[in-house]
Amino acid sequence: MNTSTRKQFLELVQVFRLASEANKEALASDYRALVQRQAASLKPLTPILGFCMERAGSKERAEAIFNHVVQNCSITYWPCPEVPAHLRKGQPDLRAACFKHAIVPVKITDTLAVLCGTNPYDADGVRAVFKHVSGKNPFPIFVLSEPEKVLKALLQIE
Amino acid sequence: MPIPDIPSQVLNEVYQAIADRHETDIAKLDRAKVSEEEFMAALAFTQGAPLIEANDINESLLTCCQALSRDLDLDALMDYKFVPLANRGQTLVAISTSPWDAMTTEIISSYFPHCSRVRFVLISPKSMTEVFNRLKGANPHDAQVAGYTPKPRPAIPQPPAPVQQPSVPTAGQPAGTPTDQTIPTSVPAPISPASVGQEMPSQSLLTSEEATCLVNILVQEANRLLQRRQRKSL
Repeated sequence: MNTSTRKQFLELVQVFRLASEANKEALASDYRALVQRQAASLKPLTPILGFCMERAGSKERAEAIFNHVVQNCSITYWPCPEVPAHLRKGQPDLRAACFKHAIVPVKITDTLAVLCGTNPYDADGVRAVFKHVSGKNPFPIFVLSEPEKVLKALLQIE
Repeated sequence: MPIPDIPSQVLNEVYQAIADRHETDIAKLDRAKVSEEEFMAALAFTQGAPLIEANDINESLLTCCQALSRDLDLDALMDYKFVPLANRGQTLVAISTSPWDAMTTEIISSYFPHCSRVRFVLISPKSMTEVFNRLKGANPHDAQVAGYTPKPRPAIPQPPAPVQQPSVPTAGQPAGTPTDQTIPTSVPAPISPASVGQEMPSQSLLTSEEATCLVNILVQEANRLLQRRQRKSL
């Protein structure tokens, strides 16, 4: 895990007090091992928030974690992320960036680029994906959705 | 301009964003040449809200809207120019033509009192009308009744309902909120002084449909009065 990802991880864990001081490092280590396996098999990386929700212990607690993030960040929740048809094929660089950062483009026009992810702290990811959809310098907007919905949308990119 | 009544401060921010995009000074920006598409995109950007355009109105979006507006009065939502899109915990996401309007936030909060935060998705008035038309088309029953709709009664005999006063929405509680559904489906007719102490003939009682019709008229009138008061207070 690089410094930026690690910082995001610890920020998220800190926000909803999922982990005690003692097991934060263990969680971070588990997450690192998981994403390394996924990267090696060219699969979309599990978002940090998704990982934390999986470790929450119950569906209710996982929901509470997500709701907490939605309520406490300044980003709008997007309930139905889908990748536009024209971006689903033939864009390997975009696909790689989306898979790496768990971010999907949900609306791309000449003037507007709406990207949907799960991590309000991932400015690097937004920049990385935006780079591939910013041909005409659209206004960027970032929205937030549930990790499972974003992962489902990611799989629309072939 | 695609949306009327945009405060000058918001407009300035929009044109500043457009000027930045064109790498020019706002004073040199020819506002007449800004396309509606770019204007709306800049407005969405400055509001930090996603934008829904006509070609974004699809089934999944409408399904989300329907889930939250099913029990609400669509005509009232049209008057207030918003549609609830999603609800996560204490956060509500609403589609609105005027997310900068504090009154809009207040009205939405009164519809969803358990939501302490309201986030917006921007839409133009034209596309908003399209959303309402599609929602009404999906639920034509709502299109016919402005106020309260009685739920279908089961065929089994019902005990006589206790007499309740029909509630009229207050300033903090617009019509069509889920709580408004506590209205009884049958309201007794007024009793004339001459008939006090006598058994009322059943023909003189209003039917359930007539009572509902009366309540609807009352609610519509109350809505109009409220809107008039709100406009005056602005």
